[in-house]
Amino acid sequence: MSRTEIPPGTLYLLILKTLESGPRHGYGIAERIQQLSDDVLTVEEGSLYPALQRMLIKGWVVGEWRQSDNNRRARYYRLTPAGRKQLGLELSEFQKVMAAITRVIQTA
Amino acid sequence: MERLGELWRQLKFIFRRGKFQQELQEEMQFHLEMKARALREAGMASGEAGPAAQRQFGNTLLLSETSREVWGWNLLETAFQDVRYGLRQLRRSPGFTLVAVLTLALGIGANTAVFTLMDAVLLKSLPVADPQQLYSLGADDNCCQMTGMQGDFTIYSYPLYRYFQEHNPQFSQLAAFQAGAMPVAVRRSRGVEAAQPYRGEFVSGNYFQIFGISAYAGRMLTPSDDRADAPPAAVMSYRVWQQRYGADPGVTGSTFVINSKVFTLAGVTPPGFFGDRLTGDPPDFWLPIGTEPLLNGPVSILREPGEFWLYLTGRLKPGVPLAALQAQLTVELQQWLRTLPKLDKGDRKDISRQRIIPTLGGAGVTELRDQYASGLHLLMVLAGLVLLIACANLANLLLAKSSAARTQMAARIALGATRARLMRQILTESMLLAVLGGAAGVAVAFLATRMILLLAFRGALYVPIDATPSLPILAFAFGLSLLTGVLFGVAPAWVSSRSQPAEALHGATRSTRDRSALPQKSLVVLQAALSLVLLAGAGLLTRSLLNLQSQQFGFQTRGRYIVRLDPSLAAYTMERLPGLYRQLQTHLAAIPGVLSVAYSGYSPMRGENWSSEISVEGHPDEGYKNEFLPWVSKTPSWVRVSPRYFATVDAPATGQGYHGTGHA
Repeated sequence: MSRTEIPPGTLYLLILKTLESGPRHGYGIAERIQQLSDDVLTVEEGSLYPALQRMLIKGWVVGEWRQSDNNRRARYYRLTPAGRKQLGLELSEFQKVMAAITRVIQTA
Repeated sequence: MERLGELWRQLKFIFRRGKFQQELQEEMQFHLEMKARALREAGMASGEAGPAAQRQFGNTLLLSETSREVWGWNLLETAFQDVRYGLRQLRRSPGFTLVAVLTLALGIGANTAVFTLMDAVLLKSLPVADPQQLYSLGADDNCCQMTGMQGDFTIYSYPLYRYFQEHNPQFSQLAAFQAGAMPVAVRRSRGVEAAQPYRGEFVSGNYFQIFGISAYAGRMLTPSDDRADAPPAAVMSYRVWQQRYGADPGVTGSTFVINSKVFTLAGVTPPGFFGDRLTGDPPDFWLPIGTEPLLNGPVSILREPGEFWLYLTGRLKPGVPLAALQAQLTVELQQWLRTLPKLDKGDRKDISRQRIIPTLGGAGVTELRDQYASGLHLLMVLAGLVLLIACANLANLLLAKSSAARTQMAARIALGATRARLMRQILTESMLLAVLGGAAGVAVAFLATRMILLLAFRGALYVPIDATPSLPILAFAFGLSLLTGVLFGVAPAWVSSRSQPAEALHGATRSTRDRSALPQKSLVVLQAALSLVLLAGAGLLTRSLLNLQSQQFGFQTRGRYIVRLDPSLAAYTMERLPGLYRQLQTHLAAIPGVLSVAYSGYSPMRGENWSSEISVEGHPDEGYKNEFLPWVSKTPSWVRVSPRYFATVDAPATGQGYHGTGHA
């Protein structure tokens, strides 16, 4: 099965979106994206963790250590109010671009 | 506001770097385990799941590096890391470090020393006001008293000075001062201290005005001090005032006995003023020219038109063309020379060839500068060569070292280190060496400058040159060490960073030698060539020195001692001199071990002689030609000597074979 890289510029959007329903750890985020996209989108660990660090700096998420389902300590990332605001921004931006691309494809 | 929060979080990161690393590690470990479990659940054998998860995850080390980089402290952090690692490396091979630092200290120290001296001697102007308006009359530095023609005139008589002063309104001021300081004996009138020897210089009354020097205490000399009826006044140097008179404010206005004549001390010069030229033992006292007859009595030369003993420096009015000034001065000089009485035919014939070249006098009568400029330039070239050799040497050492560390480099590349990072690390190591060498170099420079000054001013009690490297010079040394760091660091860094990861697996340095061979070989060739140049130079210098030492002077130097004395300082009059000399001769000869004693007007090796009013029979005009050096026109000269003089210097005095002044 061929795996598709995540389109550039949408990684933040995807991470923020998966965190909207509650805190997750890094592995959980990657799993969730893959699962929701029916295994089409794969998040490379090599881009996931640097992206998470960047989001920590921006203040969109905070990291918290807690017990995971299988009783292991894991770092959970939780959306902050700033992150929720950013999610809205990214979403509307993405929808604007998506609509524009769709218009171009359908009319051209 | 958002930016501020980001900055705050980034700043906090610095203080929890260790924790960050540990947490990231744990997070990735967790991720790997989850992945492996997922693979096992999907049916993979439990032994294979772990490695497979790791393969999918990728390079853990690299990932943690890139995650750290996000926080923006990467450059600083790695620089810090590199420095720490570099210091550890240097500590691990103390022999190498010592050799490298010493080599560099020598190279950088030599250059810093030479530049300190060049800065002090060649570049620094006298601390005078508007030096760009000051012109010396004459470019050469004749010294100190002479008669006859000079060609390019440099020193002048007092009547000639007054003549120029009256005829040249282009100069707002024209000052005269003695060429070559004279010894004076000075004591304070009240009190019982014995007279101490100092250096004195006759100067015209406007001397301090023209250089823009105002008194530190009391007043400087003025033109009225030159008048014959003015009470004798003197000016003391700041240094003597500080060191010999404890900065006593009472010295100004008090009376001093100078060569047994009473002077009133007018004032003290400001610190940093060392007279009109840069020499060892600069003047301690400045006396008005008008007091010269008082001090010299019957042998006064002030009114002698044909006795040249003064340098002239003028402050030129703005807008005067230099060429016209030179032409006018030359014409005036020639006219004036024709009025001189007692000129012999040869001199009279030469008058049309006499001229005056005004030169910018801001750096003073640059005796020292001319004397040492070529020497300093030679030293600079030599120091530069030493530094180049040091660089080549170090580059070679580092190359050899990096060849040895090649497997390690290959391993690091295999582990994911970028070449740029490796190069940076090796360059940091070279820079560390360079900075250490630079610091040691400054210490070397400090000592070397002292040593050179001691050699250059042999016998001087005081040298008016600061041997301490100035701030710009220190900056220069620092820049120089960084530059050398780059110079000798680049080649090894480049060679090391070319390591192939596969080499780590081979575990051998088979291909190593081949790749670094070319730069290494060329470095050795360069080093050998430069060393040869230095060696040849040093050999030639040593040879000339040996030649000079074994030079034949026509008299014996072994076991001879010369005592110079100036009885006039102790107020001996002309009439009492013959008695004094005869008495001294007897007393000295009575000392056990003294074989023979004689005295003369000029001593051997002094390089002075007296040539006026003497000519060889048959060659009345042009003197006689030296038979060995036919292009040198020599005039005969004479020296007053005592009985037993020739026996004492052991020079054969038969016929015409005596060249006893040692000044052939």
